[in-house]
Amino acid sequence: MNPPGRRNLAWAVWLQLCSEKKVPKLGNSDARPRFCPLTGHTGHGGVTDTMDVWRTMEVTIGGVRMTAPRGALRVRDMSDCSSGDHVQNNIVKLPTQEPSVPEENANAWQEFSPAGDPGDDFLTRNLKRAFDEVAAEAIPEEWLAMLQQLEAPPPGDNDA
Amino acid sequence: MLKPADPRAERPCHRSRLRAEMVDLMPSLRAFARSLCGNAAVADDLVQDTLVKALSNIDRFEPGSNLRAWLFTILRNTFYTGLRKGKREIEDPDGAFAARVFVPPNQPGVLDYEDFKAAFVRLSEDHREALTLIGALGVSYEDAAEICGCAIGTIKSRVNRARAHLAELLGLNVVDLAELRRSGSNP
Repeated sequence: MNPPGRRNLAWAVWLQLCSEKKVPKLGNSDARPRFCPLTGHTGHGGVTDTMDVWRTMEVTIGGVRMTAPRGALRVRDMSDCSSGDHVQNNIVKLPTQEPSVPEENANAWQEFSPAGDPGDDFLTRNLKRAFDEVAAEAIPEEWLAMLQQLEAPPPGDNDA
Repeated sequence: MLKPADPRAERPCHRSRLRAEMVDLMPSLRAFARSLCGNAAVADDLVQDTLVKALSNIDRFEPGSNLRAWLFTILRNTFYTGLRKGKREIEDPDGAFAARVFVPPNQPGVLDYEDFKAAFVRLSEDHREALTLIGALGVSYEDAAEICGCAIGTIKSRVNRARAHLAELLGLNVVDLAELRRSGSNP
């Protein structure tokens, strides 16, 4: 179903819900909330929102039965939906949200991961080894003594 | 009416915490200094100069801000100021300078830590500091950019070019690095 058709159907459901007084007034605004049951968009800003008011609601649109979970319902603005979007349990999953799989060989050093990642290459491993060697050395006593000055009260505090 | 809190009452606790944080940062500062100087003795002098400056300006440090970036910036500025003034003479008790006269490994595919160190010191200061901050110390790109006084993109670019140069010095290519990452062992 294309987005305009889906949007029209959603509005029809919204009107039905309005007639049954299941749509609560949201916030302090006097403006009528533009709530879309398909995507949950309330028209009060924000791409995503959480609505507790629909916890027990069930809606079937376009052959898809949408049951809100017991917990808070995650909803999403439909303005960025396209015909390829997938709707399930009232959550519109956009194709663009799928994580991209990095190509392992193509960019071996294009994005250098910070220290601490498993599977480090030869260069990163030796960089860390160099750091570990330095870190294993004892800190000179004079440095520690110097830092101890921080805990000594400043001269002006003697009268406190 | 509530009496305003005495700032002196919070100072000992704050300073004690600051001291503990600075002690924790000592190994990182030392490693960073060593990567810049390539010489343990000169690097330790640099860390000591940094501590002196930090302690004398400790009132300028805003509690809650990034202490690591602050200290690293002082260290880096001290190093480059010293370079400009020509005060830091080249000493070579560790043989680090001699390692700059680098001989590529004569057996391709057989690399060890010494080869890596010898190649590393041949990199420029910019590249060494970028690799050390990001690769060895795990500093974020944002913090590294703040420390080096440049854009995040510049740091990323330096890291990439430094790695490419280092790999070139070691005779490695992209495929080799990918293989080494998968196998998790030295060649």
